[in-house]
Amino acid sequence: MNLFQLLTRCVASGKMKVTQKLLNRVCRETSGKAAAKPATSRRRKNRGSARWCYAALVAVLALPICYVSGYSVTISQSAVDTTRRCAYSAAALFNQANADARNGKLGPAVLDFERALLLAPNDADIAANLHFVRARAGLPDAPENWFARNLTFARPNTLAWLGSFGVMLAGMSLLLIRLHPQRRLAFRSLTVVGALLLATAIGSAITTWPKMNEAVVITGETPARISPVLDAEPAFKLREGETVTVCAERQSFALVQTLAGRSGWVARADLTRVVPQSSSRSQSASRT
Amino acid sequence: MKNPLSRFPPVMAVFAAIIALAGAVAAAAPAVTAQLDRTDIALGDSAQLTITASGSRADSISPPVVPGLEFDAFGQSSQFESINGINTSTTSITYQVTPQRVGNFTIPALSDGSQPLVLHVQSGNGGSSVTSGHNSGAPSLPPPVMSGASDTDTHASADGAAFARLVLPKHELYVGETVPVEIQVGLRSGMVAQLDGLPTLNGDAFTLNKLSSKPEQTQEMIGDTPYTVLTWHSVLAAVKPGDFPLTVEMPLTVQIRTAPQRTQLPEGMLGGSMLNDPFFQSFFGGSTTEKQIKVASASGALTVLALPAAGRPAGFGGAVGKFAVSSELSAAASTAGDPLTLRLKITGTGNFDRVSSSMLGEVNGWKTYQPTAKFTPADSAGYSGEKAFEQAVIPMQSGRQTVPLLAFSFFNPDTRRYELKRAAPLRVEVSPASTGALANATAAAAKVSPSPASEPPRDGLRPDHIQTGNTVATLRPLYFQPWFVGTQSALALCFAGGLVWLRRHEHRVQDVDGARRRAASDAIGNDLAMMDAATVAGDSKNFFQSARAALQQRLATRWHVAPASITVAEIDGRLNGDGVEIRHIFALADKAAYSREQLTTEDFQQWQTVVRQQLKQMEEL
Repeated sequence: MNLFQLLTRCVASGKMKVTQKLLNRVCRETSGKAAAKPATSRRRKNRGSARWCYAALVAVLALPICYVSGYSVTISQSAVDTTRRCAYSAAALFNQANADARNGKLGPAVLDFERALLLAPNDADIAANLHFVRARAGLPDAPENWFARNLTFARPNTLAWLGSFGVMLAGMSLLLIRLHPQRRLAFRSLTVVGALLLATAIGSAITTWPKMNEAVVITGETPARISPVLDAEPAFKLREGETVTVCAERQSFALVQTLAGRSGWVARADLTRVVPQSSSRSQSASRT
Repeated sequence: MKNPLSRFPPVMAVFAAIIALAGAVAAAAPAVTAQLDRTDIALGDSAQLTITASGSRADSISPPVVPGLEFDAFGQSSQFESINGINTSTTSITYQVTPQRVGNFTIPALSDGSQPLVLHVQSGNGGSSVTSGHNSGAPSLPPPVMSGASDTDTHASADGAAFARLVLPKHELYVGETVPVEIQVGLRSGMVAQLDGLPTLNGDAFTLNKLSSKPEQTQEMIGDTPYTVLTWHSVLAAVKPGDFPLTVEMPLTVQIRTAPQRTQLPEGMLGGSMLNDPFFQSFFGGSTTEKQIKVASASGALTVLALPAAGRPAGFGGAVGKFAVSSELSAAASTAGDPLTLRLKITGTGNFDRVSSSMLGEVNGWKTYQPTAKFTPADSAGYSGEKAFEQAVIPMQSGRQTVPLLAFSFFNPDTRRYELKRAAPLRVEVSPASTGALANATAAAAKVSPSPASEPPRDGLRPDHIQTGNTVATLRPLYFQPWFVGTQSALALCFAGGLVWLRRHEHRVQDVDGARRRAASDAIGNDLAMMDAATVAGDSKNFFQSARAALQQRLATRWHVAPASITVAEIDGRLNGDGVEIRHIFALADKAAYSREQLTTEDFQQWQTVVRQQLKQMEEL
């Protein structure tokens, strides 16, 4: 009984595992190239890996682009509707802040200018009007370090997308260096560019992080108390439009720290966070 | 049928309450009692509820909660008695009870043993009787709509003391468009104590120019009632696109009559309308308190449209309105190097804070300087007027020179299109000049226009932005949103995983011995499977051939030679006489190929065991 007869019998008896192994042997004996297998298969495998990498690169690049473009289209189509509900626009916030400032509502004006500045940190008009309103309220401008000032060349969301692109660029370049060692220099340059983009996004996130805990006094003079109870002794007073950092919250009070470093408990109703918490988002959206 | 108590003056009512209280105490009656001064009133009138409590329970007096009735405390009295050495104290609080709708209201018993009180409220005599005690927020009593001189509804406060109107020329605006508005607040004499501020807008999508503290004053009759109407003229600007309600609110302090109501006299009877007038009634024996209210105008919906993107000119600066442009030069003839003043005048109506012009840029044959701007309003609100831009220009070449056309683009809300207006071309005869004069003239021109191009903002604030720009759903930047961080982390992990996989793959590809070992193991596995299959089939030829092949693979891997080169002679040479079983298997494989000798099942199993043992031994070496 030769190999083919044996194979036929195994197929007939339904022994699939043995059949598969027999087939492998038939192929090996027929081609007679078993010893030469590693060299050719290595090249083939490398080519296959490269194809996979390129496909992954295209997918990875295409997905966010599709997402962003789709997101923009959705936003632009429903811009009018969302403006009423819970969408924020730097221009609308700026205009609203101007209206508040003209009506003498300095607290809401500072709040909306701060929010507009968060969305468009490189807008000179917003910065100028915020400075003007603060000056009118007798409040100092928030100090800004060199690092933060130089990272406001683009909107935070733009920088976030650039950082995302940097991750993809660096990751793909590192993979391609392995697949095409002869183009190592070019891919290493791309890796550096990607890493720089990522570093910029991380830097922007670091400088923006304090804003997440900032709040603006929206009522008139507000006492900052030494403990979170109504009859606690006031430690100092906060002026309308003053920007503070919220360090903790307890029931209806928030522990705040002023730019001068003074801390006290303030009624939460007298403050509005620059970036609304998820629970108070609807309230804030209705204000905007 | 009216309750006889309703005719009692308040003092009598208090006395009655005290007497009732005394009796109640003596008889160990309820510790908290309540009494209404009358049980039948008209809508708009108010009754008095006196709650009396004795001893320590006086601290717990609180007004009852009855839907449709409003309780306002306005008096309190206390009494101490000492009878036969026993001290008693009573406290009475008087509330003004104001119904908010017609119907029968039951005031629940305030303590065990006391009876609930019933107040019957009948409809009043319409708008002719103005009563006190309401705030503007009464939910079930819609404020009256009165006919007025304007095209908008007039909403008065519930007590008719004041009204507010917002007069708008149109209800559809574009972002940045300004429209003149009139805010009218009518005040009824004797009922409004003071104004508590200026009118404010309730819509958050609009801005209003600063209102004057001295509005126009006129008199207006609404029905038979005279009102003093204060009118503010201002300009409303739309901030963002969408449909928005818009009302105007005016904070006021009104006088509320707290004394019991007198019986209403029918109209026309003994000067009934005059006697029914709250001012008249309060004058005769009534007392008043002041209450702060806000009177709001009728709510109107405005649609704000975004400026169309189609057809927007390149130099569009956000001006929305109707404008005309004209230009002029300070002289028709000049000398080369002598400065001239180029003026561009933009007149019309609209948002002048967005009217801007860069005037002339760099033009061949002309030296130009920064322009200045000045706005001259034609009305107090700054809705119409003229904005003039001046620029110093110096002709550098002699001959007949033409100043390039000056253009200004704006959006016309009436035609709903962008328009580009060009000023007429200007010509000037320029005569040649000496070389030195040119430098002097340049210095002089620099003095003419040292200021920047744009006009400084009037209120210190930079003007509103016309382009609403992109919107985002949240103020939280993307890098603080969990989904974004998660996606990026997953992406980074994918790349890290890919990198690790590639490195391992490369390592495996470079490991030739390992690859050979793996290939040999695969081949041996196949051979063993073949042996199993041959055992099942009872095929001794294939069994021994497979066994030999498996042993060849193992030995070839060990000796780094090709499997086909492993022969009995090679085995003898390398193993120095060892490997008897291996040689035996090789021999049987040759023999089985030709002899067709069949083995028993036990033989197959025995040889299988031998082969596997040999393979294992060689693997362990």
